[in-house]
Amino acid sequence: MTQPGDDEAAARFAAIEQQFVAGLPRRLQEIDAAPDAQARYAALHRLAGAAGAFGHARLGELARQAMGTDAAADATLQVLREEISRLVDARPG
Amino acid sequence: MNVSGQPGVELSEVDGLKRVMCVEDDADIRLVLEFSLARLGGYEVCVCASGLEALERAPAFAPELVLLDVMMPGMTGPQTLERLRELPVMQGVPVVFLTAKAMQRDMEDILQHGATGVIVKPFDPVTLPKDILVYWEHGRGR
Repeated sequence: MTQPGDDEAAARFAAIEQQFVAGLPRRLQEIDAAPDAQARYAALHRLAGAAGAFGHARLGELARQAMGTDAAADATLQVLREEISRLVDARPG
Repeated sequence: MNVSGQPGVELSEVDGLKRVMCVEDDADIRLVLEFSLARLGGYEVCVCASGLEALERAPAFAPELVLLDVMMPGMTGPQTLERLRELPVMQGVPVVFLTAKAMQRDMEDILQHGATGVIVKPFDPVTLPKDILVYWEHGRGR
C-alpha cells in the first residue's frame, strides 16, 4: 500500500473526485431524461455506487432512496437535486 | 476518506496476486477502481467498460481475479461470467461481483451464477486492494 503522506495519491484521488462532482449535473439530466422507470433506476443505481466510492455517503443514500417509484422517491429526488447543487457550488475554483 | 493509505509494502509483491480485471460500466467508478487497485494496491489492472470488452481482452491479459459489476447495459454481470467461463484462460479464476446495497437481497441468486463472492458497493478504495485477497485465496482453495 501507499506510504503515509503520499501527497501524489491524495492529489490524484482529489482530481478524480472533482471530475465526478463536475459530472453530477450530467447524471441528473440522465435521470430526468430517462425514458422509463428501468432507465431511471439504472441511472440512480450508477450514481449511488459511484457516490459512495468517492465518500459522498449522503448523495449515495439519496440516490438509493430515489430508486423507488412512489411519491416518497419523487420527493427524495428533489432533495437529491439540492444536494447535487450544493456539491457543484462547493467545488474549489 | 484518507487515500494516503497505510504503511507497508505493495500487496501484489507479498501475496502473489498480480493481474486484476475490472468490468464496470460507470466511467467514474472505473477511475476509482484503477486508482485503488493500480495506484494504491500496485496490481496490474485491466479496466473494461463492458462484458464484451472483457471477453475480448481476457485471453491476452490472463487475469488472476476479476471484479465484475452485476448491473450493466447489454451483457449483464452474470451473462458476462457465463461467457468468461468458456475461455480456457478463465478456468479456476475467482470472479467477484460488485453490487449495490439495494441488490443485496439478490445475493444468493447472484452467487448461484458461479461467482466466488460479492463486494457491496460503495466499496472503500483504500481497503479494496486488501479486501479482494480473501476471494483470490478462496478461489485458489487456500
